[in-house]
Amino acid sequence: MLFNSLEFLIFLPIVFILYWFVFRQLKLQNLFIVIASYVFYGWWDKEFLILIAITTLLSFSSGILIEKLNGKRGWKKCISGANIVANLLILGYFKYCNFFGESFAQLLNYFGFNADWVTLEIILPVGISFYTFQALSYSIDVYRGKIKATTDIVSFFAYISFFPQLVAGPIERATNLLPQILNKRCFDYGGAVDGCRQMLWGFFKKMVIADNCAIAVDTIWNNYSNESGFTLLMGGIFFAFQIYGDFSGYSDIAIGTAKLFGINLKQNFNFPYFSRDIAEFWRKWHISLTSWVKDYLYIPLGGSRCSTKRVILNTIIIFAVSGLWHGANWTFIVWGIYNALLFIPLLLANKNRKYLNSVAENRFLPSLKEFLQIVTTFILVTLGWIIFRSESINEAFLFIGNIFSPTLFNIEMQYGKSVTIGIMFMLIVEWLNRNKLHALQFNGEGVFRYRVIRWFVYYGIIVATILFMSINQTFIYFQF
Amino acid sequence: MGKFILRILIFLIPLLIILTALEYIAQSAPNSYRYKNDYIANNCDSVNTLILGSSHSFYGINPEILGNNSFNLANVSQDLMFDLYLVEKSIAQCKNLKTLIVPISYFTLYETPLDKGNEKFRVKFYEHYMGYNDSLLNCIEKLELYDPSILQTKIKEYCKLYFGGDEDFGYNSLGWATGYKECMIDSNIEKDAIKTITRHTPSEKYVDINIEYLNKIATLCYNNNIRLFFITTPTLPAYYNKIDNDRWSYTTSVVNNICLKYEASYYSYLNDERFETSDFFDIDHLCHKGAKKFSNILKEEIFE
Repeated sequence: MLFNSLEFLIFLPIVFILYWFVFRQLKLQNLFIVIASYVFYGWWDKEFLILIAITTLLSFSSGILIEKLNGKRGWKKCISGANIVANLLILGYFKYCNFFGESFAQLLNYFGFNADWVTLEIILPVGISFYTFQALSYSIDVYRGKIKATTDIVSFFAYISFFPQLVAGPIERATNLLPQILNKRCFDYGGAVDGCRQMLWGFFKKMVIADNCAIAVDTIWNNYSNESGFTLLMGGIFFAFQIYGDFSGYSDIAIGTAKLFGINLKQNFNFPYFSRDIAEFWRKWHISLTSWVKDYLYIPLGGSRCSTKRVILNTIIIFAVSGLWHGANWTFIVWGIYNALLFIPLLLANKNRKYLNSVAENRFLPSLKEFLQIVTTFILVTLGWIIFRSESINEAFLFIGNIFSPTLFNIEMQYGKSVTIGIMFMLIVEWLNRNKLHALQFNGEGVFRYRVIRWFVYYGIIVATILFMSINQTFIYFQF
Repeated sequence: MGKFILRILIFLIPLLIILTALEYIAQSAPNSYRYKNDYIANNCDSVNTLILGSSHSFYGINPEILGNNSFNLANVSQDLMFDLYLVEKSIAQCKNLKTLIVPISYFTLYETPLDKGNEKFRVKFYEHYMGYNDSLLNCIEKLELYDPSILQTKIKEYCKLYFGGDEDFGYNSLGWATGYKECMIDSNIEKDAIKTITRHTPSEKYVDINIEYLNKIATLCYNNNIRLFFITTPTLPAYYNKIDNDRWSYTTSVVNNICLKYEASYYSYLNDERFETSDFFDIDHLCHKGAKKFSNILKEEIFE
């Protein structure tokens, strides 16, 4: 079920009412979360529900076994390892079999062998990377002793399948979400209202910004060999905002929806396009994946506390894995390595944690230096997005090559004129609220302490969304 | 909790008013469906020739050039079920109706009925503006707001009508679509052709029902002494070279059989060499220049 669908508009109030008024006991509420979540996912494809159930059962039983084997470190390692392998095999089969099969076939064809039989046609289950990583984090945390294994199977099913974040994150940690599911939840008026605001902004970003950018992006990419350098650059910029509006929009809707059920999910985006360098960007973009990769891959590999060569290798590995996590295509891997190459100089110069504060702190506008840093970072990120969006490495290089041609200075907006106004509006609103958890978080300051002003803003955004929304498109991150 | 639900309900009241106003504006905006319906109702005695069909005839046949008191009753993606509905309705209204032109496109026999395909949203236009009341939509789907992608256009058209400005609503006084002014073909022609052909080659699931509609239209014309012409509008080689020849042969044989049975005529201009690239808006639609040329050809070959 898509968030931006009529079905969800009906589904959400029904689930909300039943959750708070009918299933008031904790156990019943958790069972109801599981049922609602399976309905939500099954609306798209019932067959893959079994896959979520298998992943859940694997992690649940491994957690209990690890706990029972307290003291037997070898066995614990074995169980944890077996669970990781089993989950990764499922993920690998559904997500990467086609890719590796095709790559293998191409390699064999290159050496003159006919290997068309290698290629497979496996359907990718929606959100498999998200819930697999969430399940893995639980069993690893139990193994590390960071969290106690739960014996409440219903609650564990609710933890893995909680519908707002099931298909496109944020990737939750058991340390944050599981205790909230295991303990009684109370309705929080302030939280619910804030959740509605966050959802509203998420819908705006998805339906107005991302979906309208998608039209310009598709048109430009379909004809990239004939477009001017300037149009191609604009195509890259539009894609940067498409993917941001799409993914951060989904996260905002997911976090906002969860708040209606008394559950606080982690922040997934922190206004990443206002970053001053690539390191700051990666602290603010898809935070739940970045922190997952850091905690469960980078640190076990040795992190930055090893030789320089090893640090470089570790960084390349985590960025390449992050890229591969997004999809089975060489473009994603190259995109990951490209970002690693931007990140490594900062890491080696020990400047990767230079910008931990908010940009233009205590000021309304950034300084010229900050502005140039933001623009430079954005351009570097956009070049990466071009690789990410392209269907092949060859296409990406041709696209980028065509940007840097004399026609780069033929400044004429051919596509996306109207969505540019929407992007400017989004950037202004987000800039004004860059120190908050989301762009519509009103803390009762300034004119926003008056309800009439706040409601005026809400109605304005709703009407703008209805008037300027584009053709309904699925969320990009569903494919990951 | 009670406070939250109460606030939400209070919040929804102005929102419902705003949405109702938007729906009213969208429904009041001028559109070709309402215009065509009103035109037939107001000019029922003068109309002699009606042109039916989808965008191929909507953009491709200009009744002003065709003469003979013609009117273009085609609409984008109009399928045979709605063609039949409009024929039945027009025969009941237009006492002097003498000629009917029904286009036969490559997809005509294979197309998915409008109410079952991707363009289901168009069904509401027939229900709202053309008096079709065999309800195929639920109450939500009937709302103009349900399809916001065209809402902006509707509001623009409404503003044009009531607040002045450009009065081109995308169709002329005789129902011909004016939107495809000039050739828009670029180097992507082959890619576009593949996409269009794929879109125009759905399953064979609805062939029987579409043949039935064609037979019903022919029967109605035959019984009411109306000359029926089936025509195929021109396309570019990038299009007609890629069509499935078996399907096309089957379509033409079905149409020819109907012609024999009901004394109708069929003219195919699918690969007519008199048309050049500059006559087309895209690979299968004529632009103004092409529509003028095609309407003149039809005038000479059908009416004269």
